[in-house]
Amino acid sequence: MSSKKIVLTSSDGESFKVEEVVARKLQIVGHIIEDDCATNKIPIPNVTGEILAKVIEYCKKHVEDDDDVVETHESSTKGDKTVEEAKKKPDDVAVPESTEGDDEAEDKKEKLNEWDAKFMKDFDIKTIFDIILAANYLNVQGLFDLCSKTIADYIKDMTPEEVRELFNIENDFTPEEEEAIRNENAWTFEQDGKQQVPKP
Amino acid sequence: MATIPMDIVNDIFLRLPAKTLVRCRALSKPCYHLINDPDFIESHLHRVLQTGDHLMILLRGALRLYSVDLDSLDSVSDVEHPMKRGGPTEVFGSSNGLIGLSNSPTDLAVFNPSTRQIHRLPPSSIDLPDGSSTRGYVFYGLGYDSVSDDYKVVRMVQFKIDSEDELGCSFPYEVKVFSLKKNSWKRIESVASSIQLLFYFYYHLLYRRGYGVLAGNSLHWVLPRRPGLIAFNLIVRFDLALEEFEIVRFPEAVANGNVDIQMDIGVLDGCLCLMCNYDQSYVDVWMMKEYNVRDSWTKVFTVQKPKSVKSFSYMRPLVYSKDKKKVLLELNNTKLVWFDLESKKMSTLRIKDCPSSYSAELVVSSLVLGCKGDLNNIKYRKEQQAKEAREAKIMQNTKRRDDFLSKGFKLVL
Repeated sequence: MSSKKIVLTSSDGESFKVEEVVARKLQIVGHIIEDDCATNKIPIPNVTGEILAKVIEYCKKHVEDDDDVVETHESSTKGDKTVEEAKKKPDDVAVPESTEGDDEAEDKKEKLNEWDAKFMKDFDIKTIFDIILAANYLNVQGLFDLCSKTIADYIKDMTPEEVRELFNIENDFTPEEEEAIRNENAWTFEQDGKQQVPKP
Repeated sequence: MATIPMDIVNDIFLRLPAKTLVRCRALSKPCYHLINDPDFIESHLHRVLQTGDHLMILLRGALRLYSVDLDSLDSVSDVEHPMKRGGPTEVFGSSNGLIGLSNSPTDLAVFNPSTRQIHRLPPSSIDLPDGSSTRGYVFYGLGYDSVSDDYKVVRMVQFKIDSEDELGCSFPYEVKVFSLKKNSWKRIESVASSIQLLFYFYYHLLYRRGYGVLAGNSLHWVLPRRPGLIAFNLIVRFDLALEEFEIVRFPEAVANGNVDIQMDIGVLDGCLCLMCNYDQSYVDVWMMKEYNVRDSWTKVFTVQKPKSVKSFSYMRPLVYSKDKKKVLLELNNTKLVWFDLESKKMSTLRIKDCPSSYSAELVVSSLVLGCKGDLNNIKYRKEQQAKEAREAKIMQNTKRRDDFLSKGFKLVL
């Protein structure tokens, strides 16, 4: 099992050999493996090699996360999660008692968050859009959430014009309609003059 | 570049603060309709409540309201609201991004500071009972009733024989409840006798002035033990769904405690909290982990009087940090500090350019009440601004200035 390799092929013909456990982090791939209708080669026709490489890099780092794994026994897993949630809730409310295990888990999570932040920092916004589209298509929830949050932080203080340009959104309002909408909440557009410099 | 699919835009928008979303409605028609959609508004609220993102601190100075993001303490902004007049507007409570505003018992509103949408409550008269000539204290509460999916405002009016009647326990309270869905008030007939004992004297001293604490789909007021009148420390609760009063029992250990322990209540992580102040040397914080289960009261932490403050009259927990290692505390109506639960150390929350003394309210960032203004509201706002400008001029003359200063002086008391 640990030696089994999966070859993922991108839309532009680039091949990536990965451990099966990593490949399963791409849930769409996990389902294909589960259905046992695959050879060791799985085409990923909608994703370029450049982007697929980044998705795989993320999946390798997050291979131990349990949120992305395809559930093999859905009902029992659900039950387990319910029990976990029930147990977890009082802990959330209570003052945390520091134990060695908890500290280790926290430290690990913190390092992973730092890795995530650094991982995202390397990309320009266009690349992040490509990655979120890939994560959406391949159903890698953790990476999708990470990209979504990064984009949200990026656009938080932008003007509508800037967001339209970034998202390639067509402005289908008439000038009168747009003016009416702006007038409804004029105060929020007054900040345009104090516009913060967008992140690089 | 390829267009981003609308479902991904939706997910990104759910992570934005409400103020940004108001602006994003101007992007395109699909974005406009998405952000106005009740399902989106509900999903956005659910997310901010779950993640704790975009929390705002509402600061009430003597005459003005300010807000600042907990994650971005460098930019304090004025909270503009149509209830503004020359004097102060009370803030009674916060629920799902709404705050309650009061200029008087018959001039009330719910307001969303993120979207600046306001809903003014239709005026509801106060009916003096026979034999009473004076209206005493008024208690307010704002809460969300999850059973009816409705926002409710509770107004409890105390009556007295005359202005010198300090206890005011001769007459039953008038209790009315406003339902936002119905946009109407309703009188509550079966008022628990115990609330007659909510003392004017006691609550007058509290910085929160008797606003109901929201937890467990109910509003709460603490009723401390008083020899000869109240045998045990109690909490009175008003169930927002049933619209009935009930008693919540204190933790066993302090129900019959020394009369000098000063009691106050608050809410932390959605759970009702009890703060026991021991002679201003330390405060025990109890938390009712399962709502209305007496045995679930748990002492969660103790705060010693910090050396840097000369009086330790009031302390209220507001929110845990996301890693649960610290609690944000409000001290004495004047200061916010992070309290480290392990080291017991405090660090002051530094807010740039804010008034030196304020009381605080935590408000989530939400689109509740929607963000679509309408022509009437805009027109009203302009008229209100013109009126305020005129009043400002009038206040420049000597007489009004004296009245104003006198009023301000009363506030300090």
